Amino acid sequence: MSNREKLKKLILDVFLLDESEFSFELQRAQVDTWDSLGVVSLAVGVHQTFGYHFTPEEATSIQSVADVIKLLETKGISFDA
Amino acid sequence: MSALLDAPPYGPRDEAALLREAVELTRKHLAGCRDYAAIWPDFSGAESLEGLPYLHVGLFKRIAFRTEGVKHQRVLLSSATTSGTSSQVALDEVSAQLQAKSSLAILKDFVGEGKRPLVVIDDAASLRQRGQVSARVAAALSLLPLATTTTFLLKGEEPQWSLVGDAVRAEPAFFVYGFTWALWKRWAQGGIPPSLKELLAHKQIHFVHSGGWKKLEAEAVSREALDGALLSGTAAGSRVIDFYGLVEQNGVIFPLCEAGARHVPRWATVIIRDPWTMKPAEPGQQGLLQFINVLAHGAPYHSVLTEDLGSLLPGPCPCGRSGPRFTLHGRVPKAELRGCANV
Repeated sequence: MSNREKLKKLILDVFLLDESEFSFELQRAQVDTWDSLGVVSLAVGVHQTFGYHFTPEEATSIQSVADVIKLLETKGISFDA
Repeated sequence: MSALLDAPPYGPRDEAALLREAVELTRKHLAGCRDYAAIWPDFSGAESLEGLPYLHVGLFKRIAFRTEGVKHQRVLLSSATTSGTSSQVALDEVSAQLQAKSSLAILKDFVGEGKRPLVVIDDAASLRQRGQVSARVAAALSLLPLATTTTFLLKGEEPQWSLVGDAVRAEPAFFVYGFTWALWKRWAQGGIPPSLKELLAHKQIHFVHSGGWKKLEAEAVSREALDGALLSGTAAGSRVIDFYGLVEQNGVIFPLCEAGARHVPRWATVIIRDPWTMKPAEPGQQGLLQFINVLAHGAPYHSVLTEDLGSLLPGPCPCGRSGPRFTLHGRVPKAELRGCANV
């Protein structure tokens, strides 16, 4: 499974979304389960999936799926298709 | 926002401000919550904290209290009970901020300011609930502001020990949070691999637990046995902190101090009521615990009568904390086995 696919699966699991609700352009404001608990759940999921721990500041600054990708790419995790 | 939270939790108390804020909160809930107003239709004010209306905790299983005029978020659920019914507490933005500030201030007083990794004895899947949050998760998250990273130990029923090793390897100290039962079963008796045990022997660990002792009492596991098992094979300075709380008093937690007392922060109070007359009990007399705080804006859970028995302790505490303190004697006999009260 590619990292993009892993991330998509993670986002669906963490925020309890249907596949039809997902896109790589998804914004936090569009997801009602992306609240403070969702922030923690995403951070834990990213650690379990990609092995990187967001700092608390990083976790709360993320506002979109694209932000997750951008941040993880700075840690050497590639999302090339 | 209550100014009472601007000072340390166990410093000098301003009982007049506490009463004023509690009365204001009562009026707000009476105006905004029809179910509450139906129970207390004649409230016109209180000259003492003992005179404030209260709700029995059992009502939160039957009525989804909700005060209008605030932005509600998730519903906080107590853990499963013998009746299968959970207490439901409507959380809101303002209260969530106050409650986080409260629990953080209380925890810091017991574990210090230092941030460190947090290991939670739970499955991360428990974070994934639409519109709800469990008492277990809420309790774990109260440690989050003190955590540099958060690792959930379990995946389903399986402990992921390698994740713990990764999270704490480079750190001298870390937190472990779990329900009391889970800490015993999953950590103390969880079969930690020898290589991780070797690593943990050099780590200062603060074990924090809540949720009650019923299951451990049934297995004849004492506090001494739990503490001993947890602290065995850890570095000096490791400790175990047991806190008591209720979902119906979210944000106000009562860690057991070094002298065996549970202290009440300055933004809350405890009243002991005679279970037969419901009048405030004499100092030292055992009775039902009633808690009042000024953090609950989303629903009238600012003043609740519990099914737990306790008594106030006289005089100053050897631990140095001031303010009222109590000892917990357990649940009222024949009361429903409620879900663990922990936040």
